[in-house]
Amino acid sequence: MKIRIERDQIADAVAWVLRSVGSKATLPVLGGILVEASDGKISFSGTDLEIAGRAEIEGAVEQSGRAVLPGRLLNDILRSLPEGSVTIEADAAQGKITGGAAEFTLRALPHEDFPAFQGLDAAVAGVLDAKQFLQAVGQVVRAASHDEARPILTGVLIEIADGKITLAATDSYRLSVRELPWSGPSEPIRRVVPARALAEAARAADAESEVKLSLGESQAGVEAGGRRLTTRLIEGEFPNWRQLVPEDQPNKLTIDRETFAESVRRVGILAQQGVPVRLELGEGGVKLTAGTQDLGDAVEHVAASYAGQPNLVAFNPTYLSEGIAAIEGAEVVLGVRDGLKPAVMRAPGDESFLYLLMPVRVS
Amino acid sequence: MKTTTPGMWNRLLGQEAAVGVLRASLASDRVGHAYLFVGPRGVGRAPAALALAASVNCLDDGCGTCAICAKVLRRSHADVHHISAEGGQIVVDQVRALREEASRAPFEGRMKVFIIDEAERLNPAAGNALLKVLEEPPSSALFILMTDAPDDMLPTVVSRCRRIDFVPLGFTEIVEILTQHHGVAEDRAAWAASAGGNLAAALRLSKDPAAEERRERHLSYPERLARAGLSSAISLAGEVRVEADEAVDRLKVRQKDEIKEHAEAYGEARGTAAARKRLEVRHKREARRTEQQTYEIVLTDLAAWYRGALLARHGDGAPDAQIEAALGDCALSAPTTSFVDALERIEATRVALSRNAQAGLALEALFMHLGSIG
Repeated sequence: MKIRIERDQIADAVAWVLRSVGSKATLPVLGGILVEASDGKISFSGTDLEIAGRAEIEGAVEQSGRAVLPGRLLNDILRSLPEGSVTIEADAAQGKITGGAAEFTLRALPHEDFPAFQGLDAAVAGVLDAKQFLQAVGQVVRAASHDEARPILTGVLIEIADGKITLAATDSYRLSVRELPWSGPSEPIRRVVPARALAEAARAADAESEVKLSLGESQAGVEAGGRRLTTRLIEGEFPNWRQLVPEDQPNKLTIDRETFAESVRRVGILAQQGVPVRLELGEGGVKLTAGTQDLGDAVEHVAASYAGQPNLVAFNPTYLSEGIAAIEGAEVVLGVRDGLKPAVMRAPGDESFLYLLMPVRVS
Repeated sequence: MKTTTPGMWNRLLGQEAAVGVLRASLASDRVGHAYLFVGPRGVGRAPAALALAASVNCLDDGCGTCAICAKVLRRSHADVHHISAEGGQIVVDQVRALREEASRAPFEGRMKVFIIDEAERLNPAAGNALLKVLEEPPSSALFILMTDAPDDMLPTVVSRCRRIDFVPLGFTEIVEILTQHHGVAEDRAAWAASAGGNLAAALRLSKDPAAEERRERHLSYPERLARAGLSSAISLAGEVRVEADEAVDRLKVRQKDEIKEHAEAYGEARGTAAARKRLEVRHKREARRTEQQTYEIVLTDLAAWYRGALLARHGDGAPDAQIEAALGDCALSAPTTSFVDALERIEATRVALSRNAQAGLALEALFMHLGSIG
C-alpha cells in the first residue's frame, strides 16, 4: 500500500479515529488503526469492540492495500510532521511514514487479526437533520440506566414506524421519548443502541448539517461528513414503554420552564440523600417544599396556571430537573393523576417529546 | 451428521464421548448456552472449547482452515473471549465485564463465546454474578466453563451447565495420538508420554529438542546421589532451581515482547495502566506455572527412574531405553523397599510443591532423603 495525503487532512482523520481506539480491549491489534486504500479512497478505522470509528478521505492512492499501524504513535508522528504532503507506504510487516525530510518506520500489527465489523450494507438507513438528531439524542440518553445489571436499559430504543423514528430510554424511574420525521425505508423495526455510544455518535456529527443513521441486524451506524461511528446493538427485549404512558392526565400545571427549573434547583438544596421535592399543586400555581428534621426546610411558591383538583406529588429532584431541562420551549406542562401514578412532562402543544416520571410516595 | 470430521474437531483425540455429544448438539442445532467441561488439564478441554467456539461461528461447521477458524485458534477472534483467574481468583469485575459484553450483539461472528478456564477459581461474588447471567442467558451467547474440580464450584452454577466429561488419557493412548496424528517417532512418543504425564505436556516435550537432554540429566540424579551421597544433595537441588530459573527466563523473553507490543499499540493512553496491570498479573501467573512445571517434570523423571529400577529388579525390563541407560550400580544393588520409599517421598514432595511449599527446601529435603538410599 502506498498513499499520499495532505498532512492536515490525514492528521485530523487519524486523531478522530483514535478516539474510538480503546484500551480496555485485550487484543493488541485493537491498539492499531487500520489503513485501507483503494480506488482513490483512503480510510482509517479503529475500534475498542464497543464503538468503531471510520474516517474516509480522498488522496492519491499509488498502490492499494491495507495495513494496521500503532494508533497512538501514528497520531503523534502525523501531528509532529511539517505541513505539506505525507506519504505512507506499508506492508504486513511495517509502515514507512514520510513528511518533509523526516522518515519514520513503524512495526505493523497483524492486519488479519483486525476484527471485521459485519458492516451495514444490509442496514435500514435514512438521513436526518443533524441538529435535530443531536437534540433528540440529548433529550433521551439522560433517562437511560447506568446499571449494567440490566444491560437492556443502558440502551436507547430506536423504533421506525409510520414515517417516524422514535427514540426512547428508561431507567425504570423515568422514561424519555422523542419522535422525529423519518424519510428512510418505512418497514417497522426496533433496535436498542448503547446510550453512551449513541451520545458519542451524535456529538461526532455536531458540525455537519445532515447525518445518515443506519440500523443493521447487530450494529447501528451514524455517518456524517465522511466519518462514521458504528456501535454494537444490545440484545434483548426492551420494555413496552407505550403501556406506561397514561392516556390522559386530569390535572395539568402549565409553568414557565426557566422559573420552574430554578425553583427546583433552589429547593432541591435541602432534598439530599433520597429526600424528594414535594409539589403542592393548586389554584394559582405550585408550592415546592423539601427538607428533613435534621437539616431544615425550604419552601417556594411559583405562580402558574393549574387546571384540576389540588394535588400533592413528590419527585426525585435530579430526575425532575433533568426532565425540565429536556423540554424545548418557554413553558412546561406537567400532567399528573395523583401522588402515585406517573407524571408526564411536555412542551405545550408539542407531541414529539415526552418525559415520564414516577413520583416518590410521601404520606 | 457429516461423515468427515471438520478440521477443528479431528485434532481432538481420545475424547470420543465428549466430542460425540458436542458434535451431535451442533448437527441437530441444539447447542446449549452453557457447558461445563470437566477433566484433568492437558487432555483436550481447551481444544474442544476452541472447536466449539469455531463451529458456532464458522460457516462450514468448524472447518479449521477458514479465516474465522484461524482467528479462533490464534485467540484473536473478537467474539471469543478467554477468562482466567487474576491473582488466584476470578473476580466479580471480570464477570461484570463479561455480562456487559454478553448483552451486546456479536461483533464479527454469529455467537459470542466465553471460555472460562479454571472455573473453580470463581470467587463467591463472581460465581453468583455469573449465575445471574446463566439464569437469563443473552441470546447468541455461549459459555464454556472448564474445571478439574467441579466439587469446588457453586452447585447452582454447575447445575446451570451441561456437563461434558473429558477422560484422563493413559500412556498407550498418548503414544498412539503422538505417533499417528502428530508424526512423532515411536520411541520419542513413548518417552514424551511417560515424561509428560498428560497429552498437552507430552506434545510440548516431543517438540522440544532440549527436553530429552534435560530428562537424561534428571535420570542421572539417583546414581549421582548414590555415589556422592549427601554431599551432592544440596548441589542437585540447586541445579533444579537453576533449571527452573532458566525456564522462567525463556518465558520472560517472550513476555517482554508482549509488553513491548502492548506499549507500541496503546502508548500511555487512558486506561492502559489497568490493562498493563492485568498483563503483569497474567505474566506472574505464567512464571509461577512455568516454575511449577519444571519441578513437576523433574519429579516425574525421578519417579520414572525408581519405578524403572523396581521393574528391572523384578526382571520386567525398563519402560524405555533412556531409563534403562540411566540404571547403574544403585539400581542393581540398593534394597527394592528403598525404591518404594523413594517413590512415596517424591509424591509427597510433589503435593507439597503444588501447595506452594518453599521449593529450595522441599527439594533439598527430598534429595537428602534419596541420597541416603543405597
